[in-house]
Amino acid sequence: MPTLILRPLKKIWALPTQMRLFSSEATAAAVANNVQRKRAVALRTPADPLSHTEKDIGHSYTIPESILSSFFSLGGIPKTYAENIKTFNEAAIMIRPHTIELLNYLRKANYAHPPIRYVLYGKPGCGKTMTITHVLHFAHLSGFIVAHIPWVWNWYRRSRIQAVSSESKPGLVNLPIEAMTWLKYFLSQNEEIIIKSNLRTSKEYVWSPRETTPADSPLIELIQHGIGRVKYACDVVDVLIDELKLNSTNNRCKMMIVIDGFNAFFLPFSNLKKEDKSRVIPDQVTLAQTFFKAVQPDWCNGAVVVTVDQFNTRDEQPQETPLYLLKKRGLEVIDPFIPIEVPYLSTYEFHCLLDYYEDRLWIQRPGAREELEFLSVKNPYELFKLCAPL
Amino acid sequence: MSSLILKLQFQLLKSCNNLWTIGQISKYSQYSKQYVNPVPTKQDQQLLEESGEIKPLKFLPIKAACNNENSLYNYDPVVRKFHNFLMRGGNKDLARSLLDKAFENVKRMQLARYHKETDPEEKAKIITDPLKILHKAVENCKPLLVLISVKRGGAYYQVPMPIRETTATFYSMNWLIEAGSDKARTSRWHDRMAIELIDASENKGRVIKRKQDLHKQCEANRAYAHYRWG
Amino acid sequence: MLHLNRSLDVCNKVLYQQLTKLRFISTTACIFTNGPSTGSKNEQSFNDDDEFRVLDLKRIQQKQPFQRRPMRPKAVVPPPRTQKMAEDQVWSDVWPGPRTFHPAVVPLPVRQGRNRHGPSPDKFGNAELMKIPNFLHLTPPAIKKHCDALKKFCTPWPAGLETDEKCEQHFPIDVITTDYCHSSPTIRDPLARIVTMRFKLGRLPMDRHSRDKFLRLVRDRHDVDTDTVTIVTDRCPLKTQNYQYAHYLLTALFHESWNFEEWEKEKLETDMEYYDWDLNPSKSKVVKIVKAIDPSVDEENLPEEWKSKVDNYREALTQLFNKGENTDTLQNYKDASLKLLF
Repeated sequence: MPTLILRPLKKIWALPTQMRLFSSEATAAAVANNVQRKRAVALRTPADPLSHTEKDIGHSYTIPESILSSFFSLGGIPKTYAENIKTFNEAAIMIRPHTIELLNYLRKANYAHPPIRYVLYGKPGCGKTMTITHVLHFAHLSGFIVAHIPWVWNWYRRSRIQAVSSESKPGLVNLPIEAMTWLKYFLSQNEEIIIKSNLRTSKEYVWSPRETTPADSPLIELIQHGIGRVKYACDVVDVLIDELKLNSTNNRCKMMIVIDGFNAFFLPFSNLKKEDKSRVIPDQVTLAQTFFKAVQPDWCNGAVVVTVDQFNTRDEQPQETPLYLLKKRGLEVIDPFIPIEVPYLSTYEFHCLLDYYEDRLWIQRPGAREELEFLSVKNPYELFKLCAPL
Repeated sequence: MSSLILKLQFQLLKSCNNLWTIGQISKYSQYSKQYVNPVPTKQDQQLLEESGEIKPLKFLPIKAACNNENSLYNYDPVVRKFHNFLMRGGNKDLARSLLDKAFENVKRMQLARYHKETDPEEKAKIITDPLKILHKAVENCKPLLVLISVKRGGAYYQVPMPIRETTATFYSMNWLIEAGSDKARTSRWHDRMAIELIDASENKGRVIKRKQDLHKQCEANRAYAHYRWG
Repeated sequence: MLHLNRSLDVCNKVLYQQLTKLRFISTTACIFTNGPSTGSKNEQSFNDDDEFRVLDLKRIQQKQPFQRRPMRPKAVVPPPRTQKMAEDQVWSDVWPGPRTFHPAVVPLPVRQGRNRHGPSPDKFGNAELMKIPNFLHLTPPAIKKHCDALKKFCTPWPAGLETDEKCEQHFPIDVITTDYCHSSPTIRDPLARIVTMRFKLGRLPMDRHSRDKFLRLVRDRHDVDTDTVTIVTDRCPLKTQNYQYAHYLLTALFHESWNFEEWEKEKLETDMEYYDWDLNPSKSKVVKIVKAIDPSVDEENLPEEWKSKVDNYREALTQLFNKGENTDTLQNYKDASLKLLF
């Protein structure tokens, strides 16, 4: 029974040596006691995302090294998580119920029909981006071509970048460097599958009097052209998405559009500036228009997974719900969609996660679970931060 | 002399209404003498209970516990002291977050080493607990003697003197903090601190060298040791 | 020189005697006022030439012993009336009307206020009890008595208005006015002119357009929760005029909202105060998806199976917009989309 017990100030030096304030042996003994408690062992699933089911909820699965170095080599996993791969000595993801729900939809969907749009929403730190990583892995293994935007606001964030007026689409602006970077990222993820499926362009594209991409040339060449000729990168992205939609509809490949922070496209402001120093609104950028086109349900053999995030607002007390974040305009672009909430951890998941942390030595001194539960409100990212100095 | 000043100040304070605005007399307490300090952690309480020292304390009035002295999962007296030495301008929140980040870095670095090590014997030796590393580092950096300037015959002499444990702790922690602050502008305090802590826990690094240099100086000045008296 | 001295001496003596005489007279005058007994004593000393009389400047000898002024007799306070009250007295006779609290009249052991050192103060001399309003004149028997007395002036309740619903049905318009007892040279209170008119909007025969227009005209005078319109008129100086004006307003509003002006055709989708799925691009998109999933369906006349799904979706989306996002509407929307798309 813990009662509040006291010691007189002047008696500190008279107390037994292990009680001294600075001798640290008292705490050392306590630490030793804790360490003697058996360290938890994480629940693991050896299977890959293709066979994840409800039974695996709370378990962790590891992304193999080969996929990390190929598919995820240029991104696709959040930055904070990338650091942890070294610390944990593995890239593990906890399987969560909403992910299983989404994977089930993706398995169940009829791919002869227009792509179904899924919108992930939830409070910050609940794991929307980690769910995206999980889904990316699933998509890669299921043979989807993945068009993934890691974070939409990254295109609009930097005020130093100057937006260039588009020649092909008057009134809109280009972000050539961003488009080129995205093409590189896209190529790193999908080169293998594009070559394997032997995807080709449907018609001739004339970039300039001297530069053309003839009809029936491989898509890889088109992408390489965009990377090499930065000036046309935005147009190449636009054409690429059209070609991929066409190819999917003709059943030559499957495509998944994955966009993190989709609602940033519908903000009334951005940090970009045009040549005349006027501000750019996000949907004036050609890339935005391209991806609006990509999420339309006018093609087959694909799926669209987007997240909406309250980081992409400047409201004082934002909500996390889709209509609030997308506004009417955004909702009209994406509806009808299937909203999937990314919730806080359940009690079971919370303990599974702490078991994993103990297993990987992220928590050095096990215990205090109730306190951590209370302080983190079972928000996974908050929990991770609370465990960092432990 | 100082006690006289203290007395004078006390007299002044008696006539002053708001005592707490004057920071010079920090020892001034609103509690009378029979009040005893609280023992916040369960481990310490258990030790008192086992040794039977708890009995006389049970019926004494208790001071209210400080808000940074608690039985939370991350409470540690050494860490608490470190926070207090690290704090600047009353910004304890910053001090805490800095040390927490340093702990995180220590853990990341040590775990990287741990996973890299293939020899199981060597692996077992690697301490991955940042708290243990801090304890070890503070313990290793404590000096035994320090040089005190003493005036004898019109000249000042650096006289080696033994110090109490509290003073040694102060020197140790302060040196560690200074070593963390002695860094390039581009790097962060907590990154530097993590390296210093790991080094000090392994009995190497800049702070250990500083301690050893001080010990050497004391050894060199042993001839003045008798100036301690008289 | 000597002579002069003697003559001076004689002069002094005479002067002294005269002075003492004068003094004596004044003292006797004083003594007489004090009483005859002391006067005889002084007379004696006056006649006694041997004794040298002492000038009693401080009047020590004549000082009277201190006497307390007799106290004014205390007013006789009768015991509180409550002690003499009969148990079966008629309370409304004791306390017939509104009145400040009086401890001796109220036979209740009431206490009020706060006392840090003991129980709260009792009713005697308690200003707190006098400050607060009391309803001691409104006891149930007193009210009953009042009602009985007023009964002879009342007419029976009209037949057919037994319930509130019936009242509302027969008298759809509430008119609220207030009369004031005004205690100034004029008895006209300016507030008495205000007329408030209330009615349910649902009772007016209206279609979608006229209702929409009516709501735009009355703005915040319409309460969405109770569907009540409240019109307050106060611009005319007399109550009757305001009453007539309120009726005029109601008539004008009703007919105006039924009018369809040419410019109303310019109303856009963004001008709507509610989400109308049929006017939004969402509808065409859903129909397109349905067409893509099942190319055999007719876009104009969807088959029953699809129609229910689409209607369900429309309902869910409309609710999401009109009722706002919450767990229920989002779950509804999710269910509807799942039905539509899977």
